[in-house]
Amino acid sequence: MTAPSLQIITWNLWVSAPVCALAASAMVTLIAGAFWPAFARWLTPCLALGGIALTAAFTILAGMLGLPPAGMQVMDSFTVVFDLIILIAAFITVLVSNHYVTRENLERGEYYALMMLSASGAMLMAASDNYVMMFLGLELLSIPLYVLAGFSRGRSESQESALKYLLLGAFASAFFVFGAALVFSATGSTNIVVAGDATERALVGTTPIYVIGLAMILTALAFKVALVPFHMWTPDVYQGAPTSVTAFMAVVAKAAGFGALARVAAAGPEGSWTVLLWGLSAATMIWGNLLAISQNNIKRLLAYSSIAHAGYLLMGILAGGRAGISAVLFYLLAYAAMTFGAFAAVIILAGRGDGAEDIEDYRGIARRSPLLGWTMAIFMFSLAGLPPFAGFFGKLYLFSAAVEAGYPGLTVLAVLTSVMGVFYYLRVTVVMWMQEPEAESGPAAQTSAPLLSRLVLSALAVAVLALGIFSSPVLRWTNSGSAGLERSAEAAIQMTLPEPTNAPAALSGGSR
Amino acid sequence: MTWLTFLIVSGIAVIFAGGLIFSRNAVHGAMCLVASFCAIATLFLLLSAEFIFVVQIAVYAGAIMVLFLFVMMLLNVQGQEGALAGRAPGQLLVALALGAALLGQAVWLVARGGEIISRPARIPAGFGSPEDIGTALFTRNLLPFEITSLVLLAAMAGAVVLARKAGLSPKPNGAPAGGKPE
Amino acid sequence: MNPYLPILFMLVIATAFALAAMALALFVGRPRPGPERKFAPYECGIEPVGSARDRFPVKFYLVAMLFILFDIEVIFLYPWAVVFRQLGVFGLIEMAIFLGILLVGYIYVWRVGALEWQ
Repeated sequence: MTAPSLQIITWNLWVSAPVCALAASAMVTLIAGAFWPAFARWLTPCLALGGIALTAAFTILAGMLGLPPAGMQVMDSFTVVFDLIILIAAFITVLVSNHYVTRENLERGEYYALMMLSASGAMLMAASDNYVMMFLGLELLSIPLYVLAGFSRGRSESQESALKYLLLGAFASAFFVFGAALVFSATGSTNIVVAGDATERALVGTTPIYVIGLAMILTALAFKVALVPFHMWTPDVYQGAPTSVTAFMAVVAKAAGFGALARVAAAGPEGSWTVLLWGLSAATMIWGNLLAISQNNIKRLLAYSSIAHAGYLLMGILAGGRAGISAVLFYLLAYAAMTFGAFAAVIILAGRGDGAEDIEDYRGIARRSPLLGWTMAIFMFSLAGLPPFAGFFGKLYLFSAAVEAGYPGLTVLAVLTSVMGVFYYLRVTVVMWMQEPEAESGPAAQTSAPLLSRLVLSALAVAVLALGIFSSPVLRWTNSGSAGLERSAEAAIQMTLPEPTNAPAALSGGSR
Repeated sequence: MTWLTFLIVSGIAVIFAGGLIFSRNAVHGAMCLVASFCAIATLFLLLSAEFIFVVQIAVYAGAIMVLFLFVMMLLNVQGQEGALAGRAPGQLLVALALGAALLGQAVWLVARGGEIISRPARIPAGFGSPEDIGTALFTRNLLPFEITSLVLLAAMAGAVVLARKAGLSPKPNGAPAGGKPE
Repeated sequence: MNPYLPILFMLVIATAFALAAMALALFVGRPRPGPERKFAPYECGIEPVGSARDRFPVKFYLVAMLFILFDIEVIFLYPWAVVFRQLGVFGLIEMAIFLGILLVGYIYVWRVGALEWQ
């Protein structure tokens, strides 16, 4: 009994080294914040940045080792690409948060620790090849997010946001567990690929149960990434949560959900799965873009925009294959850069207490602060999908993957809804550049920001531009990620570690 | 014998679940939930899932119910019990339709039970016993087990953040406006 | 079903004992005191002021929450104890890591002062 289990742990140590590093750094940050509260203001973000950098190093190192799947977690090139996207996002969140947290008086050691724990949950979700692991990743991602959403306890909107997110998120988690249990009862395995292997199911005749289970899992993940019938929480939660948390939520939680979806999709589910994804994607693109048009609050606008982007991203999952997943990874990277950019600008523009969040408050900002005007314009153009920015190339890769995979109708829909998107993104830019500024004392007067925030904002704008101009090397990198996903799905089929390995007897003896 | 026990115990579970839904007093509802939890725990015992039986009693009927009761005392819903029982228009119709759908699903599953339920794929005999769970948890599912502690840690920090009054660096002058009483 | 028969016996005997004690009190005991004496505070008690059903402070919630978390931690020790001998040193290390992570949480909770009743 001892010998095989020891073997398992020698794999696990390396496979899960990145997550362990991030979790350990989170714990150090938590303890440091508790023991030296006087230094928490600069100590905890520094520890967080260090921990994230360390984790990135571990990720790259573990990726180079070429590890076999450990039965729970996979350290393939997909995981590496995905983990690095999440780590970059977490890194930017810390940088963006610094200014905001100080201004809103949210400085508590727990803030960064919770964020890092949440990021490690996101990494687990994308790296798991097992529903058990994926569920724990989902919980580790979500529980700190519920708390972070309610972090500014003085504002009732923040409380409302946390409560809504908690109630609906717990509901979604329940769906996931129920679905995973049904999948297990239908296939006898919680391994995503092994459970997805149709031959065993067809033999036993449990396909309907499997399909229901998979649909429930899809529901839970669709909630996390805010696909349309499951998107209701998004605007309220995004609006009420502290803006830095909203940015984190919009990028990392969404990325984690898509990572998990890609893992599930790589296992080759049933035909009904594609129908479901098609419908979800179409509904999300149409509804998200339609509702974004009528929004006046910038955070709500960005919430609906993130819903619409989830629809585009789902196209890549639906298309699947090397091109589809690679396009998803590229788009996530581009989406992270432009979304963080937009939220960073919102953080700078909103005075204390998230005062100026209406788009009308941004009138003439560009004249007073050209940096804000230019960067926001770049982010909005990129979100709208205009060339030569990252968003354009991201959409290009996604759409071409979808066409190649045989979904021309959906692609036409996506192009049409993108055109709809141009309207509301450009509106923000027009308000900022073309309209007369309000009186000097208005909330919009708040355009001064510390040097760090300006640097981050500029760096993000450069990144959006660079991702667009030098998209092909980045695409090569994401291609390696999608190739890794395919390879590990094949490897898992060949290994076919049946779940109850410890009791080889009575494998066929079902009824008791 | 097993069949009879199942009937009695599941009957108790259903009755008390109904009591939870229909009782106007939140504390009475919580007590009904405890009874229902205990009955469900016995059902786990019938499936020879002793560990889940213990978890159901110790965690659900014990700890989580304590939390429920504390939350009730915290909110003190007493005055608005009538308001809690209020209904949205058409709620009954929707609930009936969804309930009927769920019932249909259950009937369909039981009717097709011969094909689906009685043949669980590759479930060995001792499945669900404490030994089995122990071996599964500490060998193959080692990583999820350790991650569980991280989830608990996150919940711990979260509970402290949400329930503690002041931050670690108390700055009474800069507290955001509109602070709510604890 | 056999191994659970003693539990059934215990339940039956416990119920019977409780019922018997109550019945005995009914027949053997003195006549009951009236309601006015029943609700009066006993000897040195203070006269009740207002309803006891008041809002409880959030501190109770925090304690209950931490109790649940450590309760779940303890639950994991059951299956571990059952297979402890088979797992050997490896199992000990596993549980040490698990408890170590929660110990970090405990130290944090302690240090922050969440265990103090202010």
